[in-house]
Amino acid sequence: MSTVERLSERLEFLQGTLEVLILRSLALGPNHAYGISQFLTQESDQEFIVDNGSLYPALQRLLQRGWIAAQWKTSPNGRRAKYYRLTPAGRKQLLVATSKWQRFVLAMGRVLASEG
Amino acid sequence: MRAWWAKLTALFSRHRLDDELSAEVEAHLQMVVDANLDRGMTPDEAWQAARRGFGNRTLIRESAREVWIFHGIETLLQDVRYARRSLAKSPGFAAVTLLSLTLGIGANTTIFSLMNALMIRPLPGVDQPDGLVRLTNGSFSYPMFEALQSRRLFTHTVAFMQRRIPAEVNGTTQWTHTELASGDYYSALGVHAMIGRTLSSNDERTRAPVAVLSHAFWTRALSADPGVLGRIIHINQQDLRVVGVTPPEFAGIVVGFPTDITVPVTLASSLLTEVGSDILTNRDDYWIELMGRLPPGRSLTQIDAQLQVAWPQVLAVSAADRNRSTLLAEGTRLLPAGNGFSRLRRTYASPLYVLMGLVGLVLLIGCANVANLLLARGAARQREFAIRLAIGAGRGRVIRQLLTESLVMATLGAAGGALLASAGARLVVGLISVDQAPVLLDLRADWRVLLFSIGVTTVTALLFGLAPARRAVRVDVASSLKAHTRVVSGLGIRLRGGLMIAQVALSMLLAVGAGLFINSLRQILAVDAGFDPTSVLLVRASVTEAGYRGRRTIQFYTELLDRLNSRPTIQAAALSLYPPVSRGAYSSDNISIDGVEPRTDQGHLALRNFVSSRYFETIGQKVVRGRTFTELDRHGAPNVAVINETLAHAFFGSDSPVGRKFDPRGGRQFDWEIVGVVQDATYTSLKDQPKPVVYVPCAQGADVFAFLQGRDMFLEVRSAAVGSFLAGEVRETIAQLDARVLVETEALQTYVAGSLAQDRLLALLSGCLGAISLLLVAIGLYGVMAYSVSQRTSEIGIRMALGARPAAVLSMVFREGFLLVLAGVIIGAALALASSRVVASLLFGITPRDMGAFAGAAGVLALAALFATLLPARRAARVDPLVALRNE
Repeated sequence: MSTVERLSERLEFLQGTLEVLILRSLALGPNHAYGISQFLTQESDQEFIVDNGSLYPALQRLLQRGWIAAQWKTSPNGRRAKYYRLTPAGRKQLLVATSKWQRFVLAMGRVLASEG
Repeated sequence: MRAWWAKLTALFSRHRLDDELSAEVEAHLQMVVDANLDRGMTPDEAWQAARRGFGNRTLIRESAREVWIFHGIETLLQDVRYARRSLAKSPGFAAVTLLSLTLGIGANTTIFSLMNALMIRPLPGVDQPDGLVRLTNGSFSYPMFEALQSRRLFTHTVAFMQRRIPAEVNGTTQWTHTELASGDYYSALGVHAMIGRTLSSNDERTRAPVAVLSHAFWTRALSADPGVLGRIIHINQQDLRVVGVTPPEFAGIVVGFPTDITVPVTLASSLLTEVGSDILTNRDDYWIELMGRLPPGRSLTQIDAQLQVAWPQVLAVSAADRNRSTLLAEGTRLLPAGNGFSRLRRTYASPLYVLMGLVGLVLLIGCANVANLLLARGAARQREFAIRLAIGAGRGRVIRQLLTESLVMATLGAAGGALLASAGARLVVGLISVDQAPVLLDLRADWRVLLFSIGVTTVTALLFGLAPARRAVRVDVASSLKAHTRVVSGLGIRLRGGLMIAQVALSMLLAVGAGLFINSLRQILAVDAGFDPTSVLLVRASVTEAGYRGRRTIQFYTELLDRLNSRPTIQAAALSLYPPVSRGAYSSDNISIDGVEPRTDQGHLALRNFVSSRYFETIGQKVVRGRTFTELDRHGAPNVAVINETLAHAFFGSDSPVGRKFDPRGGRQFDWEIVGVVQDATYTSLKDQPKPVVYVPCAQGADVFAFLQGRDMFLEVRSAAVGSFLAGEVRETIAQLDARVLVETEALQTYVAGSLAQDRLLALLSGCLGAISLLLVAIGLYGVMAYSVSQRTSEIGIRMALGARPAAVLSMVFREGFLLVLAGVIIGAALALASSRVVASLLFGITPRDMGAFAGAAGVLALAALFATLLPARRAARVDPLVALRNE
């Protein structure tokens, strides 16, 4: 499935990146913790395997800042689960963070390329 | 506000957050299992794979929860940093605030740590002090103790008494607090010896001449000699073998007077000079206190009920028949004794409660002051708050920030207050140390003091911080940001005016209290004592403890008087059993006079003092009729007595009693002759009404009253010489007679003043607190008036432009301040009248409605208000209409 050569170890999340990725996953619509981790694994072509030990604290931090909100709902296959959704503040934060990341990636790329 | 609330509830409802997280995690796990099943795994495989991949669920829950806790601490630190910065930006505000809070909290902590040390703190070094109880109403006889002990109501029944007596250790004699205790004493307290052993029941039974030393005494008198066991110390010429030393934390059970030496109670007759040899069987001698340890699992109430049943039986076998009905009627009761015994408590409990109330008022005034300043500051910071609210800060968040600022200030105030309190409490202990033995109270802060100051600090911060904080966020964001000038809110001004009135009212209450106590002290000092204490030295010499008994005691004193009276520097020296103001101690008995019956309600009862010749001359008590004693009124000569005016009046009206015969023992043997009448003098306390008194020459009294032969007498020496020189001379004279006699000297004036310690304490402290509150009120009033003037600059400018003269503006500002103060004074006076009952019992010679105190308080407040208003009023009068209007 993957076109990229597999690294012996999976990518670690840089500080603060998981939060942005969670926001991104919720931009598509409300989701529960399992759904978020599935989404991130699939969208990253299995590069990111989300550790639940990081996912839950990250969700709590986002709740604290008021960027996401949570609600208990019944999932399509009949299980009760806690669904997270973006708040307007979260949507704004996603925009800010996305543009910051893109600048960061570009800059990193330029510097690394000039060295190579 | 919601986010803040969520965090707060998260902190307090750990369990709810935990439940929710675990439900979420379980649901999550279930979904992974479902997915595995879809991929065709068996249910077992599906579960195992899911669990393996999921990670440690407990750890996940915990790390998710920690996010909330750390967040709370982090924002708190952020708030504290911000508070520090914003305080540093306005040093004037910070200084006044800190001063108000330091004084307020410091005064409260001072009084509380005194109350703690004297009344609350459980005895240190004692095992389970709350199991200790004592029997009420003074002292008991040794037979009563034995009868009670045999009833076995307590696990341990203890008899003890503490006495200040000289002990000879290492060749030097020094004053000690010696406790005579029954054998169960240390078992009841659960105190074990650090070296050797403590007292045992065997010691009590066999009257073993042994002594247990306290750690402090062992260190002080024996330089912590490790070979102390077996050493001999002497009390009253008796050898006592040291058998143990108690641990350092234990200081006896008498609060304020740590015990140095403990000996078996059964040694009383050989160690105490004033008791008879039958003290252990005498049913009329009440000299010990009783204490017990409650049996495990039994409450004070349960044992008290048993005591009520047992007490008549105890008295049936232990009380003399003629006293039994009185003792039965008096009864006894159990009280908790875990906080020890204290004679200071009786004298100082009610003054301390009153002072606690007064310092509470000072703190309230301080709070009002700070709240007022905060309101003014809040008005100045309105734009800041508006901006913070506009960029999305919740109102709750701003309130929290402001309350954190308050808490930071209160905490700084508390730190200053703690320093103030440690100095203040020591000062107060100095004020109440009036006996020869200094009061040693353990004033170290313990968890109670700590808890108290944390509590006071928090309440203080909320008191002064909450109202201004709530007002601060009630801004209309749009208009405050638009307006160029500050928006003056009428509500703020009204609130500040209200606070000011409350402050003045509280201060009035305090000032009236201070005025009452000061006036009361002045009344006492104005009392004509009936003698002249200036240039008189009071001397106590431990003659009986040095081994003098019977007639030898009298001989020793006579020889001493002869030598002193022959010294050129000494005008007169005399002896008396009781000093002129005896602080309660006085013996009294019925007297009967040949052919006369008393004409007053006092009946036959009269106080008795035994004095030498020249006594009245020495202390300056005037003779009204007849003569006083001479050297000729000695052993063997016809018995004579002098009476005071009150007694003369009670029996003889305006007739002369000189030459009449009477019986000083109340019987019918009229073999004493009244030879003179002296002026009334104060006897037990300056506050007492004059009482009938009989003076008997001690040389003759010793024949009739055997107890006089075993008692130390007070020596009074009148001389123009300086106190310390005179004291040296007296010491030298006594040392020439017998070097073993310990001597204590004190100016009679100081001694008399010592009996007023309670009144002085109240007058001085309430005066200080009154002054502090005046200072705070003046600062507060200045702040309010200055703010009001600055807010009204343009209005004043317009008035002046329209022709108002500076004098008119001046009086306008004064009127404003005056009205605030007037309202406060009236409310404060009403409060003072309403609470006058509380202090009535502590006053002498005036009622709690004393006009002088009220008028003085109002006057002083008015004066303070005048000064506080002066500067703002002058600034208002100097407003330049042009400048003021240009700003508009």
